[in-house]
Amino acid sequence: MLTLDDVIKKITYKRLATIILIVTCIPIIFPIGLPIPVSSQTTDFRKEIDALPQGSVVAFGFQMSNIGQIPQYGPGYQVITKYLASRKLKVVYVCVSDVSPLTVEDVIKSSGVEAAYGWKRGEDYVITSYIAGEETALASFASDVQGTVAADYYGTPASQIPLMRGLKTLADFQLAIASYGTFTFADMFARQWAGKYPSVPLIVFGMFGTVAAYYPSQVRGVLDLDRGGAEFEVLTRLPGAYSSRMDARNLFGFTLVILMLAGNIAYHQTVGMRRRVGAGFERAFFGREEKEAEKQ
Amino acid sequence: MSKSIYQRQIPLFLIAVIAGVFIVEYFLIPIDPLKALKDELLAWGVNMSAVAIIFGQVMLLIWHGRVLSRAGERKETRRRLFESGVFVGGFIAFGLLALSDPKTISGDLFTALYLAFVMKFSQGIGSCGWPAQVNAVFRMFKVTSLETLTIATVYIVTWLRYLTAFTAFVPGIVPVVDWIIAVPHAAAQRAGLIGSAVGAIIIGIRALVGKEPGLMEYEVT
Repeated sequence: MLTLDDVIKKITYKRLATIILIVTCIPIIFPIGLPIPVSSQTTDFRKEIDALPQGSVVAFGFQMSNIGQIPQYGPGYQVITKYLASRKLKVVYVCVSDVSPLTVEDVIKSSGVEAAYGWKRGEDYVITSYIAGEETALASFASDVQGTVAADYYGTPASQIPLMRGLKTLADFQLAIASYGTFTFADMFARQWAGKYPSVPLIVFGMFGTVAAYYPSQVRGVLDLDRGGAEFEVLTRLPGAYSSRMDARNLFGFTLVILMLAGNIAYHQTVGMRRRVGAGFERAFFGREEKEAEKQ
Repeated sequence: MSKSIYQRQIPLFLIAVIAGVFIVEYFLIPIDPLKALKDELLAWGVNMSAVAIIFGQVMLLIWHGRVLSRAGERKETRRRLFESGVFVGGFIAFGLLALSDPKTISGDLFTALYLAFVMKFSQGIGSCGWPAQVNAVFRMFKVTSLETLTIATVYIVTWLRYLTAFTAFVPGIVPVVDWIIAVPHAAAQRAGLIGSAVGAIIIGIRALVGKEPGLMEYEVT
């Protein structure tokens, strides 16, 4: 008789990869429309943006560990940027990793905010050049904006950029957004921005687990990567890649959990149970000894 | 002169002085000359790290070339040659682009090519890792003790919390997993951070006073 273990042994690495590919591709080709409930962290994220009057200035801390993160983070940057532009807010993108400036440039172009909302470089948004130093860079920007950002990404001196005039410290901003691909930056943003400038609310686009300890006191709202991004797209009615990916993510997640459970059940059905946990546990859960007795 | 003097003692002394300047400027005396010195040192740090990266890449290629020259004619050799060729080609092409554009790396052509090639390669490499991760969970994540049972349970409920279709029908899982993330997970994270911070300070002090034999120490003996 074919056991679960026999079935699992037939699932080779290539077959497993094929299963994953099929599971994730089917809902992309034929969308299912699974529900996307909105969590409190996402609602709080939006509330902080909605609380700002038109013309307020936002510091958008922008860190990516490598350019390959664009597919995962890109839709989030786009929907946040679109929403900020639609609320007529002004944004300074504080680039604290080497690939950040060209990523922001790409986000602004691909999201079409300049055409849709009349956003203008230098007046409505600024992309800083790469500010090296990680935590030192964040601390330096917060305490001395003009001294840290000598020029923007395009080489325009800060003194000639209308939006930069009057911005001396982080206290001159009405909101701070932190986004990061390297998780240690969560603590850096919390220490150097939220910790030192509590009057400026900090909201985060990053994994919730990295800032859970700071939420909701120092970090006022969180977009938890793909899930949070999808929720934000639903909440703001700005559909994007995240909400369309959620079907695939759901199916993939369920498959992963089922595979893990199946792997464990098969393991304990065969060798693991008798040797490691004892015959009593095996009898209670699987009734193997009873089956053996019946056979005899 | 002993190797340990210039390989170990002098760099440690320089690091101690630079760290001292940063600490004094940050915590005690935020005056302009000290701030200017800090900025200058940071600029040097950026330049030196850039040089170190280029040096590392060149050394990597040289070592890789040596391995290939000894390997002979094999299928593996051709693959490695192709990889090295792609790397060298990319290095030269992007280097020339960066130098030729008056705005260095902010040029449209550089950005377009970087996003089209480097991003896609990087994305592809990341995607290839997914089946391997699932495979590891499927075949190796076995519950054999109380500890692995705890980890497996947390893993499964956390995954389920991130599946919007599941939370729509079982909303009760959200506060449970959020609590796991905010309390035990954050506590473990902070304990690890404090432990590594205290350990790093102790090792740093021991290294400064010459009590901690590091890799360099083993190299010179």
